[in-house]
Amino acid sequence: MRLGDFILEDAIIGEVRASTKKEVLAEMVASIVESGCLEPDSAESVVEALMRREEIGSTGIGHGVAIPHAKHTAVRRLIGGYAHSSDGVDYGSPDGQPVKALFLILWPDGVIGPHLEAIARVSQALKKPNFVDCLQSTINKKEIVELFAEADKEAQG
Amino acid sequence: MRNTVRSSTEIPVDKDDGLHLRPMQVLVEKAAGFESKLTLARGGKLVDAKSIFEVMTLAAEKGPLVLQADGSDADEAVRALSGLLDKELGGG
Repeated sequence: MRLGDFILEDAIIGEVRASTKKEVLAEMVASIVESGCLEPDSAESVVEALMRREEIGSTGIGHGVAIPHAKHTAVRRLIGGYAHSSDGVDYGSPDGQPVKALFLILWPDGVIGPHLEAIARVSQALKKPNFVDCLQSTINKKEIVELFAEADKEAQG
Repeated sequence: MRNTVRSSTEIPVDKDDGLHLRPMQVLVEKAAGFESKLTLARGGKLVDAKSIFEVMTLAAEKGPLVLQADGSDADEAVRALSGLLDKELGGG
């Protein structure tokens, strides 16, 4: 699996406008709707599903990264988005660091496992030297797409 | 000074549920408190149990987790972390 297989290019946000966790997730879900992969009337319910998962425990994993994820009946296949926040979002991460890089993962309800593969793929990229630093220091969507493509190329290599 | 010891255990993972983010986060957080070198293996992949980025790469592997500790608090680490994982696995 490649990052490009599930992270929709249209759902990559170079700089989020929102500043709270829920608002940022809503902005990311809105970009998925804009990409045409989610019906507009499901957006609110998807954000609620993501927030329910956050209530179990923050999906902030430390080092300024979060992987919000949820399954939902309105989602037809494994899809994802990415957002960057220069100011950082207060996310309740274990190391207390504000989150600057968010990977959103959504998958259809009733299907087990595809998000685990997506999480494994994201983490494989995250442990690449300098990947997180490069990702967190750019708000340029084209550069973000290139970083993902480069990571995919190396993983295939 | 205590001697360096090695301790390990196997933790089953429900194949229908898999290894989710939450148990991995809890494991890495707790692992940081031990002096021992801690490794986690699954499906032929071996990673540093104190690094969340590394541990998450095991999410899509198959089979049980093998936790190994090398160090002065190896026994305590294995006992604490395997207990924690038993409790956490299956959750979100």
